[in-house]
Amino acid sequence: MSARDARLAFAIVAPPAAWTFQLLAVYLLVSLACAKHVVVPLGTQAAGAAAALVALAALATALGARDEGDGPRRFLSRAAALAAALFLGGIVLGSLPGVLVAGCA
Amino acid sequence: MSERPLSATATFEQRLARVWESAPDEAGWVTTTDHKRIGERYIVTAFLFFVLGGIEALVLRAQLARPEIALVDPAMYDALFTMHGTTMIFLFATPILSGFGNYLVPLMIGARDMAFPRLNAFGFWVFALSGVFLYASFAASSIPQNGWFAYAPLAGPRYSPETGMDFWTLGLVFLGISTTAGAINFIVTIAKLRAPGMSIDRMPLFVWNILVTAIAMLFAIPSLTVAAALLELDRVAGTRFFDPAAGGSPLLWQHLFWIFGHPDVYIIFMPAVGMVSSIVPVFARRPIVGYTALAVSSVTTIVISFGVWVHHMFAVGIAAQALGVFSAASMLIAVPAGVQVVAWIVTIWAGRPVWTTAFLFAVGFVVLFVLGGLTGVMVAAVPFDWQVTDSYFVVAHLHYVLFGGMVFPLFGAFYYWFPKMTGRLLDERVGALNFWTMFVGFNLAFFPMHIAGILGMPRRVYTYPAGAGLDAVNLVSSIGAFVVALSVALFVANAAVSLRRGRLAGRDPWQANTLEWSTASPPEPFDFARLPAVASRDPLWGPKVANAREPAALATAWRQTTATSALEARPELFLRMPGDSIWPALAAAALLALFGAILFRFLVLVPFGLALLFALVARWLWPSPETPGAHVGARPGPRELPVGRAPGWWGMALVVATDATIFALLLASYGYLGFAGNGPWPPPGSERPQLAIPLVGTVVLLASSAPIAWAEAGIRRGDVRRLAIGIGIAMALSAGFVVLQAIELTRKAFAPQTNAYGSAFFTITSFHGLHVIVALLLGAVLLVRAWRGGLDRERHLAVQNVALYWHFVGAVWIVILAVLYLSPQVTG
Repeated sequence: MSARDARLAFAIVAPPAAWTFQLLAVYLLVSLACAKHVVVPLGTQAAGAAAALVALAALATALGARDEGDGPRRFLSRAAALAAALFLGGIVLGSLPGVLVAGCA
Repeated sequence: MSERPLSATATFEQRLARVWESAPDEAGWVTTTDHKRIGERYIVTAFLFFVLGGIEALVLRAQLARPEIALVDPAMYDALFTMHGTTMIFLFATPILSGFGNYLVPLMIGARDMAFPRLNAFGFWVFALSGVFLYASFAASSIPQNGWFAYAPLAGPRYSPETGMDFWTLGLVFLGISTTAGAINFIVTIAKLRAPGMSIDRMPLFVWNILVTAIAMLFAIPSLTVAAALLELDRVAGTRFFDPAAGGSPLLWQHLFWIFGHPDVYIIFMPAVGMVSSIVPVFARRPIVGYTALAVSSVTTIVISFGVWVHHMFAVGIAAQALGVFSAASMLIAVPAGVQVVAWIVTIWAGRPVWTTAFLFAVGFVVLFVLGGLTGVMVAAVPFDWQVTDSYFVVAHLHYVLFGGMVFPLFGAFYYWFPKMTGRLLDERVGALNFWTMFVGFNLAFFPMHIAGILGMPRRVYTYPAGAGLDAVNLVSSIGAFVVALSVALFVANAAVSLRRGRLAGRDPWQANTLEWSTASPPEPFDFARLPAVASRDPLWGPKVANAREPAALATAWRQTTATSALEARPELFLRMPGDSIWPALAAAALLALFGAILFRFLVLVPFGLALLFALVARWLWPSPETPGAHVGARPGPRELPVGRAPGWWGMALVVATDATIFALLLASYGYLGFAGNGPWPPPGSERPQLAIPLVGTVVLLASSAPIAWAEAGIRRGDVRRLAIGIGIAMALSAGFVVLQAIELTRKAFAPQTNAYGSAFFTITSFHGLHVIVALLLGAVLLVRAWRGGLDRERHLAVQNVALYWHFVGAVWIVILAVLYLSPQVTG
C-alpha cells in the first residue's frame, strides 16, 4: 500500500472509528462509575477530546487529498471529508452530555 | 447447461444461451442458479408472507376497531401480533429487498450472475424453508406469543415453556443463515463483478445501498443469532444466560437483540432508499443531484445505526450521561437522512418530472419518510421517549419508518421494474388508484396511533375500555388498515392482468440510465451477450456503452463472467461459474431437518444432521466437470501481471468476518454478565480456570497453523505430496487440541447449568471446539481431493480458503484464552 493510499484509508476509517470509540468509552466509563463506583477522573472528556482530534486529523487529511489521484480516489477523498465532518459533529454532540448532565442521575 | 442440441451455424447468442439456461423441466426448477429466477422467487415468496402478515394485521385491527370486543382471545391476539411483526420484519421486508437485489444487481453492474450462484440458490431455499418452519407453529397449535423482540425472561423456559418460542428462536437462527449467505454474495458480487470501467464512483446508487446493507447484515445478523441461540440454550439445555437467580441478565437479551434490531431498521430501509434514488432521476429526467453526498449518507447512516441500539432501552435504567450520549447519536442520524431528502427534492425541483405511478410512490415515500424521521428525532429525546415508551406512539413511528420508508418505495419499484422482469407494463390508471388508496389508507391507519399513544394507550393490549377517548382514533385506524388492504388487492389484480395483457415494454420503456435497461425484457439467461464496458455514471445517458474484451471461445465453453478490481473495476479474471445444482436445495432441506430435530428434542439426531449437512455442502463445492480448471487471467502479456484474489477467497474472508463477530459477541456477553453481576467473577463455587492444559493446548493449536501454511506454499508450486503431509500434520495437532480441551472440560467442577458463568464458559469453549472439528473435516476433504487429483498448481483456491479458516480458528483461540482463562487470574 502506497503512502497516499494509507492516508486515504486513514481518512476513511478513522472518523467512524473515533466516534465509535467515544460512544463505547463513555458508556463503559459512566457504567463503571455508576454501577461499580470506579471513577476515572476526566475519563469521558479525555475520550471525547481524543476522538475529536483523530476525526479532525482525518478531515484535514481528506481535504488535503481531495484533488489528488484518479476518479475513484478523488471520489473517496471527498466522501471521506464529508463523513469526517459528520462524525466530528457527532463527537462534539456526544461530548455535550458530559458537560450538561450529571453522570448517574 | 441445457442438453438442447445446437447446429454448427448457431449464433454466439444461441451458444451462450445453451451454456446459461437451466433445464426446462421440474428438475431445472429446483436446481436453477439463475439470479433472475432466484430473485423472482424471493419476491413472490416474500410477497406471500406480506399477504399473510397483512391478514394478521387486519384481524388485529378488527379486534381493536371497537372497545371491549372479543373477536379473538388475548392469547391469540398475542400470537397474531408476534407473527405479524416477525413475518413483516424477517420474512417480508428483508427477503423481498434481497429479491430485488438478486434480480437487479448483476444486471446493473454488467455481470452475468452473482459471484456465488449456488450459494444464492441455497439462500433462497433456506429462506423459504425457514418461513415454513416458523408458520408450522400454527399447525402445531403452539404459536410464539412474545412479540417480535421476545424479551427475556418472558421468552425463557419458566414463563414460556411451550414450543412456540422454540419455533421463533430456531426459525430466526435458520433464517439468519440465508441472510448471511445473501450478504456475502452481494458484497463479493458488487466488489468483484462490476463491468470494466464501473469504478466505485460510477456505481448506481441502488447498488451502493445494497452494498452497505449487505455489510450491515454481515455484522448485525450475528447479534440476533447469538441472542436467539443463547435463549434456545436456556430453553433446551438448561443454561442460565437470562436467569437473574443464577447470575444471568435479562438486559443481556435486550443489548444483543437491539445491536441487531436497530441496524435492521436500516437494513430494511437502505435498499428502499436505493430504489428511490433509481426512480427519482429517471422520472425527473436529469441525473441525480448530490451523488457523492447520497453515497456517503448511506454509508454513514449504516455506521451510526450500529451505535444507537441503547435508544431502544432508554427506560431500563441506564445512567443519565450514557443516555445523553446515545440520544445525541440517535439525533446524529437525522443529518445524513436530511441530506438524502434534500438531494431528492433538488433533483425533482431541477428536473422535468413525469408523474408515473413509480414516481408517485417515490414522492409519497419522501413525505412519509420526513414524518417518520421527525417522530424518530422525538423519541430520540430521552424525556419524550420515557413518556411514550411502549405506547401506540412508538407503533405509529415504526410504521411510518418501516411501511412508509420501505413499502412505498417497494411498490414504486414494482411499477418501475415490472416491465424489465416480465416484458409488460403495469396499468398506470390502476397504478394511480393503487397509490392514492395506499397513501390515504396508510395515513388513516397510522397517524391516529400517534394520538392514541399520547393519550396513553399501551401497545400490545387486545382491547381498551369504552369512553377512554380511544374509540374514535382506533376506529379510524382500523378503517385505514382495510383501505391499505384494498390498495394491495388492487396491485395484485393489476399485476395478474398486466402479466397477460399489459402493454409490451420493450427494452427501455422509461428511457432510463442504468445497464439493466440495455438488456432484453425479460433478460436472456446470460443477461448480456457482450459484457459492457462503462465510461460514465449514467451509462445509458452518457457515451455509448462499449463491449468489454472477452474471449468468445471461453464465454461459450462454460458459464463465464469477468472479475474486476474493487476500486477501479479493471479486468482481473475471467471467472468460470458453477452450473445448476441440486445440492444447495438438499443442504437447505438438511438444515430444516436439523432444526426440526432440535425443536422436537430429538437431540441424538443432531450430530447426524450436522454430518449430513457437511457431506452435502462438501458435495456441492466439489468441482464438477463443467468447471474443470482455474479462472483465467484477464490481462495476459509478456510478463504476468499480478491479479487480485479470486471471489471465492473473498467469500471465505467474509465468512470469517461474520464468524469473528459471533465470537466477539459471545465474549462481550461473558464480559457483560461478569460486569452486571454483583459478586465476584467467576462466582463462588466456580473455581478459577487452571492454566496447564489450556496452555499446552494453545501451543498445539497454534503450531498447527505452520504446517497448513507450508502445505499451501507447496501446492502453489504444484507439490501435492507436500500438501498432503502438511495437512496431515496440522490435522494431527488440531485433533490433539480437541482431546486436551475435552479433558479440560470434563474436569470442571461446574456445568453449563450451574450458573451464567458456567453457561458462558462452556458455550464459548464448545463453540470454538466445534470450529476446530470443522477445520479437521475440511482438512479431510482437502486430502481426498488431493488424492483424487483435484488439487494442483492451477487449482488450489480450496487450500487457500481452508488455510484462512484454520489461521482464524487459531487466532480466535488466543482471544478466548485471554478472556476466559487469563483475565480471571487477574480479576478473580
